[in-house]
Amino acid sequence: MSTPSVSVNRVLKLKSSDGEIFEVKQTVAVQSGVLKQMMEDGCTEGEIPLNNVDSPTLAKIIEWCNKHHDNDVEGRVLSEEREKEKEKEKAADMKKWESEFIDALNRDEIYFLLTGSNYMDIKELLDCAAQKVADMVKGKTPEAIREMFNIQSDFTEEEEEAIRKENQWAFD
Amino acid sequence: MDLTRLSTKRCKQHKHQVRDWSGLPVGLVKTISDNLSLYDYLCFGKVCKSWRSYQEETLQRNRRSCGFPWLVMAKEIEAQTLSCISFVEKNKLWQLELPTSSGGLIVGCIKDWLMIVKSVCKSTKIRISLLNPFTRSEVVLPATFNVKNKLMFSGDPGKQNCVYILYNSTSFDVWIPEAKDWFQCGSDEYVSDEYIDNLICFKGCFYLLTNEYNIRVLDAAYVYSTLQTQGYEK
Repeated sequence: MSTPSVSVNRVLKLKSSDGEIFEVKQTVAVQSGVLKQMMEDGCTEGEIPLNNVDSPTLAKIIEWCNKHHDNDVEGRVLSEEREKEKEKEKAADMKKWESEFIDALNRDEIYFLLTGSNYMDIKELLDCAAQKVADMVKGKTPEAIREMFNIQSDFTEEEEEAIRKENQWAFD
Repeated sequence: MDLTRLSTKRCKQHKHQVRDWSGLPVGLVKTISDNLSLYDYLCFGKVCKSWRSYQEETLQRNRRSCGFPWLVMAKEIEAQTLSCISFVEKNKLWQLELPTSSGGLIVGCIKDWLMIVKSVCKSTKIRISLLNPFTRSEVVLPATFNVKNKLMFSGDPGKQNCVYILYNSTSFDVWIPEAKDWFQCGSDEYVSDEYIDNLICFKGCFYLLTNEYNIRVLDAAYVYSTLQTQGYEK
């Protein structure tokens, strides 16, 4: 995952919306589409302000990116079969880590992780968070979903009634 | 450790879960709903206006073309209950009960609409109705003779300006809602001395395939306005 302009040792300084500075290796930061583009354009000098991401969220995002950073650079020589097995194990471990990572978050944290990963264009993290929300929604009624996500229904009574009738076949 | 925190402040935590999710950007609502099964997807759209707005757009787009893909089965010829299997929902079987008034022979479907044929009492005529088993709306067409006609319509049968064409190789009848009966146009008006072999409707236009393999295009809006100006018995 190395682009010519990315050097292993260089770090980026990311500034969260509440003013905290985080240092991230370039090789880790390339997972963000936005940062990758900035690196390619050579405009990563100084602090990079991320106005839509607060520090707790940015810390989480960086934790994710560090974990997903492919740091397996030791030149181990393994048989092809052993290599495949290792890959499989690694993928399983990663899945486990991902689900523990996402399950430990509360709903607010997931919300900010969604918006933050979307803003920074980190597809894998966004997909993981979106899948988590989809799992939370699964099998729930609209009322239960509202309660879970602290949403007040903004439909008028008539609209509410019309919506209840709509697609009735699916809810009988 | 790749992450070095320059700040010595302790990591802030988000406090209680108070966030109102209705403000979630539309793009993210879409990303989440892409991961939902059909049932959950429908529930998701009933939560609030902003979550719904995205769905209305996509659902309508789907509806305009071909709706959801379904396999519909009826156990008996004049069944009151249909079993529907959706291909978008894994192994999910829905039972749709038809309105009792619909007793008749289901002869086929166009888009989301079932075509149901009933014989008219003390007459050689038949009556075709269109029934949408999902919305349960029904459109009853004027009675017609049973001469192996084919039916096609433009747009949504619930809508006022929908044009219906009933045709076989020698006849060509048109109906618009509110009119009492079919207009017998005679196909020669549209295809001169050829016969209509087949007919489809796409984006508001009828395409008539003739026995000479010519294709004639007929704008549904034009047909509608022509019939409107000619006047008809309501």
